[in-house]
Amino acid sequence: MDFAWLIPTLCVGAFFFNIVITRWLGPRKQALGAFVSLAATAAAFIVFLIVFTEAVATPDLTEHPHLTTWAWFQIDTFAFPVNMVVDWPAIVMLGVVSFLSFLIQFYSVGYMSGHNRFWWFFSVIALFTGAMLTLVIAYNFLILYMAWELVGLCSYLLIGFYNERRSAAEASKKAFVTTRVGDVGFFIAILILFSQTGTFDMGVIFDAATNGEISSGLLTLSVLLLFLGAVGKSGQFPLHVWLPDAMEGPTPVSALIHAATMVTAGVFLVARAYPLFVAAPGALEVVLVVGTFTAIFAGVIALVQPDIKRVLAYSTVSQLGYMMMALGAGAYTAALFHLYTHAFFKALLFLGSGAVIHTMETVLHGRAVSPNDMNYMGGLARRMPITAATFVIGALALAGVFPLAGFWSKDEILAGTLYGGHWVPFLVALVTATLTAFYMFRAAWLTFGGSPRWHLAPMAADNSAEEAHEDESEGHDAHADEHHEPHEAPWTMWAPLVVIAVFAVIAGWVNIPGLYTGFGDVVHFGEHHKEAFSLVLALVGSAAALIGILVAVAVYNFGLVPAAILGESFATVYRFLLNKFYFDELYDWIISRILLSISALTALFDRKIVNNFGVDGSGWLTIKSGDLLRYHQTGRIYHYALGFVIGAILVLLMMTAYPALVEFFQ
Amino acid sequence: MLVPRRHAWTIRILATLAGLLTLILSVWVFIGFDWGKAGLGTTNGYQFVEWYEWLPELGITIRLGIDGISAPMVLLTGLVIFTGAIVSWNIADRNKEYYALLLVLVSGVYGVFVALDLFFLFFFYEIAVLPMYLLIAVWGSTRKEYAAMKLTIFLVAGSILVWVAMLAVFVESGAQTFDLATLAQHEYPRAFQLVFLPMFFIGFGVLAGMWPFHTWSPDGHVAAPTAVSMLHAGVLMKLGAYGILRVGFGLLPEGTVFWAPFFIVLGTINVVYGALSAMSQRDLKFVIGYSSVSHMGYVVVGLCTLTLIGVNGAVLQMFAHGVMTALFFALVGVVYDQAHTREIGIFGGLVRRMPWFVGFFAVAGLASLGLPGLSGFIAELLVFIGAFQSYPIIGVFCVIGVALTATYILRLMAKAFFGPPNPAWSHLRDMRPSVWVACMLLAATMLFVGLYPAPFLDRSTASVVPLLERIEQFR
Repeated sequence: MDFAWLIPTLCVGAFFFNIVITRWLGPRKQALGAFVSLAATAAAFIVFLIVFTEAVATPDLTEHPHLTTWAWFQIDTFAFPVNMVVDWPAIVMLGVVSFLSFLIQFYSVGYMSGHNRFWWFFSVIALFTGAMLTLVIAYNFLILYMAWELVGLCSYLLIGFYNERRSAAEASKKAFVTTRVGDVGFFIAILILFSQTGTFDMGVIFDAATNGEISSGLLTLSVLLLFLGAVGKSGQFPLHVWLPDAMEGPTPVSALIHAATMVTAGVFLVARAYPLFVAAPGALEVVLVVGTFTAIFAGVIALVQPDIKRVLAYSTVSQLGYMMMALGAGAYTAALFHLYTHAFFKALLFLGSGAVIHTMETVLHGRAVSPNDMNYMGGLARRMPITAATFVIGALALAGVFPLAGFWSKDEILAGTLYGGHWVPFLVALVTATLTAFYMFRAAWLTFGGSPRWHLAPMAADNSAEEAHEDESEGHDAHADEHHEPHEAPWTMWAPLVVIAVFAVIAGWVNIPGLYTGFGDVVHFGEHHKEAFSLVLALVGSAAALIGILVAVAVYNFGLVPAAILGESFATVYRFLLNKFYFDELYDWIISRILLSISALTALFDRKIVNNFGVDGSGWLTIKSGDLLRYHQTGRIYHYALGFVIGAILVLLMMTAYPALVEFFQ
Repeated sequence: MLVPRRHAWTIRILATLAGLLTLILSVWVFIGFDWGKAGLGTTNGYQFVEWYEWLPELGITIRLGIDGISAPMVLLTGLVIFTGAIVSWNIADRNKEYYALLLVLVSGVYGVFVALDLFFLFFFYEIAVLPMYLLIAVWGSTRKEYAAMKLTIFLVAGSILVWVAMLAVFVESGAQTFDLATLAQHEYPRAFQLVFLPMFFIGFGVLAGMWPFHTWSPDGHVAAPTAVSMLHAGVLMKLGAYGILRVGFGLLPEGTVFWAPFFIVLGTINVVYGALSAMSQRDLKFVIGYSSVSHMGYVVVGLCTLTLIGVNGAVLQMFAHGVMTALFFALVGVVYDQAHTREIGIFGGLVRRMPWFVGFFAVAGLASLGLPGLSGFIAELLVFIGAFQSYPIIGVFCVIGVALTATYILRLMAKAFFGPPNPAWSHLRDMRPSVWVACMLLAATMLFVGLYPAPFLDRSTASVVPLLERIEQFR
C-alpha cells in the first residue's frame, strides 16, 4: 500500500513524457503517444492490483486506513503537507478508474484513429486519469481541491477537443465556468475550515468537527459550500446545465469523464467528507432534497431528448442524483455501491452509443442531421449485433433488472431511503426507476429496433452542414459515398464493449444481501448495520423497472399509443421538456444580460468617470486653471499694485478679526 | 552605446547577453541566499551586503543587500529582462536607443530591489520610472503620446508623495541617516505614522495599480511595445508593492495597523473591479492590462491582511504575476506583430495556425485563473488564507474574483483561438524559435513554482517573520 502514490504518478508521468518527448517525433508521435498512455494506465492498474491484494490481506483497513504524509512547503508554523489515504472507498475508485480508463483508451484507439491530434487526445486522457486517481486517494482538502481542478481542466480540454466547432468551444467554456461556480463554494469552504483548524489535513479537520471544536453555524456553512462544489461537479440541480452540453466531446470522453469517473467526484467528495456532513446539523437534509429533486428532474427531461448522447447525459445526472439521495438518507454504502456499478453500465452505454455514432457519421455524411439523432437511426441491431447486445445489457443493468449490476445497487438505495424513514425520496426513487427504464428502452428501440430511417434524413442544403460533420469525422475513413451502410465497429471497439458488458452483469454480485456482502463489509461509515434482504422491496423495485420497459416497448414497438400522438396531445409539456425547462436560456440571460451588463458598466465607469472625468478631468482642470491664472500675470505695474493693496487690506482685516475669532471659538 | 547603429544584430545579441548575464547572476543570488541565516547577525537579515559612503554629511550611503523578500524579486527581474530582450529582436527602428533605455530601466529596478538606503531606493525608483516615457512615446502604439504622458504624470505624482514622506521620516527620526535598517529601529509618534503611512501607501500604490489610481496602467500597457509591457506589468508594478512592504510597513508599523483595513478594501475593489472591467474589453492588451490591475489587487490584499501567510502569499503573488503577465504580453506581441491588430472578436480558430502560441496562452491564462499546479494558485491560496484569517468577507470577494477571471479568460480563448478558423488570418505563423525559448522559460518557471513553491516561501518567510513581529506589537 506504500506504493499507492505510484498509481496516479504513472499516468501523470505519461502525460509529461508525451508533451516533452513524444510530440517531437513527427508522424510517429501519434502511435507512441497512445502507446505510452495506454501502457502507463495498464501499469497503474497492475499496481492497483498489488495494492488491492495487500488490502484484502489487511482485515482492519476499514477501521484504520493506511495514511501517508509528505512535507510539501511550510510557512513558519503552518505546514502544508501532502496527505494520502488508502482505504476501501479509495481502493474501489482506484480500481474502477484505472480499469475503465484503460478499456476506454483501448476503445479510443479505434474510435479516434486517424485524427491528427490522436497523441494529444491520449495525453490528456492520461493526465485526467492521473488527476482523478490523485483525487480519490487525497486525504487533504487542498490536494483534493487541486486534483479536482485538474480533472476539470482535462474535462475542459477534452470537451473542446473538436475545437474548430463553435459549439464545442462554447460547451467546454460553459462546463468550466459552471463547475467553477461550484468550485468557488468548495474553495471558500476549505478556507473557512483552514481558518478554524489551521490545516487542510482531513483527519485533523474531521476530529475537530466531531469533537465540536468548530462552531456548528460555521460548520454547516462550510459543509453546504463544500456541497455546492459537489453539485457543480456532479451536475446536480441547479448546476446541471453543463453536463448535457459536455457531450460535444468525443464519445469515449463522455464515457470516461462525464459518466463513469469525474462527474462522480462530487458524490465521492460528499462521501469522503461524510464525517463533516454528519456533524453539521441540516447538511444531510439538503443533500437529500437536492439529490431527490435532481434524480426525477433529469429523468423527466431524458424522456423526450432526440439525441442519444443527451439521453444518456440526463440519465447520468439523474443517477448521480440517486447517489446523492442515498448519501442524504444516510445510506453511505448504497451510494458508493451505486457509484461503482453505475460506472460500468453507464460507460458501456456511452461506448455503445459511440460505436453507433461512429458508423452513423459515415452513413449520414452529407446530410443535414446530427449523427447523434435517434430519429434517423433504427434497425441497427441487424447491422451491428454486438453493439446492440451490449447496449441492451447496459440498459437492463441501468434499469435495474435482476440479476444485473444495477438491480443490486438500486435495491440498496431503495432500502436505504425506506428504512431511513424518508418516504418521499423513496417514492421519487421508485418513479425515477420507472422513468429510467422507459427512456433507456425508448433509446434502445429507436436506435436498434424497427426499420432503418437513415435514408429519410434530408440532404444538406449547402456545404455548411457537410463541413460541420467533416470536422468530426476528420481523418476517419471519410470516403463516404451515398450508399454507405451501417456496419459493426472494429474489434478494438467492440472488445472493450464485451468486457465492460460482463462487468455490467456481474459487478453487483460483490454485495448480495444475505449471500455475500464483501463490498458492504469493507465500505461503510460508522457502525456497519446489515439490512435484511427484503423480497417485497426487490419485487417492487423490479416492477417499477418492468413497467418502464413495457411501456416503452408498447409505445415504440407495437405502437399502441404512437409517440407522435403523445407529443401532440401534451404539446406544451413536450416543448418544455425538449427545451430542458429552459434552464440554458435562463442562465444565458443571467450571464449575458446581468453579468456582462455589470461588466460593461464597470468598464464604462472606468473609462468615462474614473479616467475621463477623474484623470483627464483633473488634467483639464490644471490646464484651465493655468489658463485662468495666466491673466493674473499681466505684467502691468498697476495691476500688481492693486493686488498688493487688496492683499494688504485682507491681511489687516485678518489681524483685527483674529482675536475676535479666537474668542468666538472658545 | 559604442556599437554603431548599423550593426543591429550585434546590439540585439549584446543586449540579450546582458539580460542573460543578469539572469544568471539573479539565479545565483537567489540560490545563494541562505534563509537559515536571515534575521540573524549584524546585517539585519540582509545578505550580499555592499557598503560605500556617498554623502556622509547627509547620511547617504550606497548600501546594497538582499533579503528574503527581494530575492524572488531579483530573480523575477532577471527572468523578465532576459525574455524581454529576446522578444524585442524584431524592433528595427532605433534599436540601440531602445535597448539602452530598456537596460537603464532594468538597472533602476534592480537598484530598488537591492537598495538598503532610502535615498538610493528613491533614486533608483525614479530611474526605473522615467525611461518608460521615452520607451512608450517613441516605440509604442495606440495613443502612445497620451498614454506615455498619463503614465508619467501619475507615477511622478506618486513619487512626490513618497519623497515627501521619506523626507518627513528622515527629519522626524533625527538619525541623520537614510539607512533603512536604522530608520526602521526608530519609534515614530502615532500621529506621525497615521499621517505619513497613507502617503507611502498611495504613492507606491499608484505604481502598483491600486484603485482608483490604476487608469494609467491599462493605457500604458496597451501603448507600450511588447518588452516594455512585459517589464512594466511584470516588474515595475511590483516596485510599488515592494515599496509599500519595505518602506511603508517597515518604517511605520503603527500606521500600518491603523490603515490596513482601509487599504484592504481598496485592494478588494481592485480584484473585482479589474476582473469585471477586463470582461468587456475588446483589445487583447486591454484584457491583460485590467487583469494585471485585478491581480495586483491580490498583492495589496495579501499585504494588508498583516498575517504571516497572507504577506508571504503577496510576495509570491508578485513573483507569480510577474512571470505570468510577462508571458501574456510576450504572446500578445507575437500576434500583434503579424496581424497588426489585437481585436479579440475578429480572430477565431487561431489554434490551427499557431498551436504553440495558443498553448502558451492557455498556460498563462490557466495560471491567471488560479489553476493548481501553476504559480498563481499557490500565491492566491496563501492570500486567501490570510484574508480568511483576518477579514473573511474580503476573502469571499477575492475567491469570487477568481471565478470572474475564469469567465473572462475562457471567453477570450473561446472567441479568439477556438471555433472555425477565420481564413483572413491564414497567413499568421507560429512564434519564432527565439520567442519560443523565452516563453518556454517563463512557462516552465510557472510550473516549477506551482509544484514546488518551497524555495520561494522559505526565503520570504525568513524576512516576513521579523517584519510582522514588529507590526504585531502595535495591535
